[in-house]
Formats: sequence, C-alpha cells, structure tokens
Amino acid sequence: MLTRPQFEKLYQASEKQLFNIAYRWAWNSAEAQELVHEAFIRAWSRRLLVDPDRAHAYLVRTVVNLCQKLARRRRRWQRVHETLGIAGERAPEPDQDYRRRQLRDAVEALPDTLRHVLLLTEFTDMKQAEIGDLLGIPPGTVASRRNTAVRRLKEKFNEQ
Amino acid sequence: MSNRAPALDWIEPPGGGMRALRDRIERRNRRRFIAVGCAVAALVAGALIQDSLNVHDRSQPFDEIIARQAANEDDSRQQLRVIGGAALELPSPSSDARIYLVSTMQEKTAPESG
Repeated sequence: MLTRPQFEKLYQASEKQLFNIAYRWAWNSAEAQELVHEAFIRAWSRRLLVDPDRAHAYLVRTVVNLCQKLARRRRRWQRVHETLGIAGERAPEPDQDYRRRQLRDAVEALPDTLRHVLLLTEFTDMKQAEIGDLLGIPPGTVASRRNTAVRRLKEKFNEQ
Repeated sequence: MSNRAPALDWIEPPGGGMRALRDRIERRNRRRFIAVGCAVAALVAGALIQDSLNVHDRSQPFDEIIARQAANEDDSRQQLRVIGGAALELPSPSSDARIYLVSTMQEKTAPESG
C-alpha cells in the first residue's frame, strides 16, 4: 500500500524523469505535466494495490502508455485532417525555452519502439533488464534499439 | 557514455507541480462525490415521483389478486351454505335480518328395534 508521504516522496523523485519523457511526446510543458499528473492520479487511486517498491516502475509504465495513446490520437486526427484536406492538428509548438525543431523532428521521425527505449534509457535510472521487462522485450533488444535510435538521431543531425 | 543521444538535455518541469497535483486530485474527488450524490438524489426523486403518481406496474396484478381474494372471502362469509339440502331466501321485513327456508335431505334412519 502506498501512503501519502511515500506518494509525495515518489513525486519529488520521479517528476523530472517522467516529465522529460512525456515532453518528448507532447512537446509542450503543460501537456507533458498533465500526462505526468494523470499517471500519479492513477497510482494514487490504486494506492491500496500498488507496491511502494514497484511504484516507480508502475508510473513509468503508465506514462509510456499515456504517451503512446497521445501519439496514436494525434496520428489519427492527422489522418482525418489529411483525408478531409484541411490543415491537420499538429503537436503544439515547442516552448520558447526549448525551441529545437531539429531535435523534435528527429525524435518524431523515430518509430515508437525506438523512441520508447531511447527516452527510457536517457531519462530514467532503470537498467536495461527493467526497461526490457516494462516494454516486454529482452535486455539485448533494449541495447540494440537504443544504439539504432542514437545512430538515427545522429544521422538526422548530421543531415541538417 | 560515449554513445549518448545528441541534444536530449534535461528540462525542468513547471514549478508547483505537487500543489497542482493535489488540487487535481481534490477536484476529481469532489466531482466523484457530486456524481454519486446526484445519482442517489435522482434515484430517491424517481422513487418519490413514482410513488406520488401511484405508478406501480409490477405490484398492480398482485393488488388485484389480493383484492379479489378478499372480496371472495367476504362473499363466502355472508352467503348461506347448505350442505345436503337447499335454501330459499324469503322476503324479510327488516333490512338487517335475512330469512331462509332451509330443507335438508337427510335419510330417515329406521327406529332401533328394541
């Protein structure tokens, strides 16, 4: 069971990591924070069932799922707009303090499978085995996907 | 790490996140309470309205059956039942009294011979 002090401590410890993952999907501070908060609200509503030792992994998994859902929704609307021939709904512009369209385009160009691995390895202190467990892939695949993602990002940056 | 992803630097989340989260949880709880309260109030109101309109679709057949049974019992209590004979109601001079002519068809038993 997750107590309130544990929950608040968990928030302090995980907020930045989760926010940085969510930001690379939402590309907007407010929306990224909303995704992180939604994950914490879900953890709090299931506090009787959540094991405090595994709460961090639970939160990461929830944020990953929410980001995936957001990406799917955006792509769906994009297709609808393209079909109708009107200006598609694009992810909001990056905040003024993080105006790096290059980076955004490069990250957006990655397939979701590579993107998840890249963001989890970059912004969490989880080991490859834990990430593999979370994404349902072997640790070796985590390493190879990470290498592929980094290589593609570098190639993209060198192109530009 | 040599194989580091380019330009994926850390960003600080907006300040006051914990307070905003607490507010969100409280708002959500309040909304949930309101929703449950509205549902209960709607149920009570529905029951009261049904009661005041006397709409008892389910209990109506039972009411009828019970009423009919009670009427039958009253009738059977007031009627004269003659077993093994017949009765004829005669005109009565008084409204609260009934006069019957009753005949029975009992077999005559032979007198015991001593």
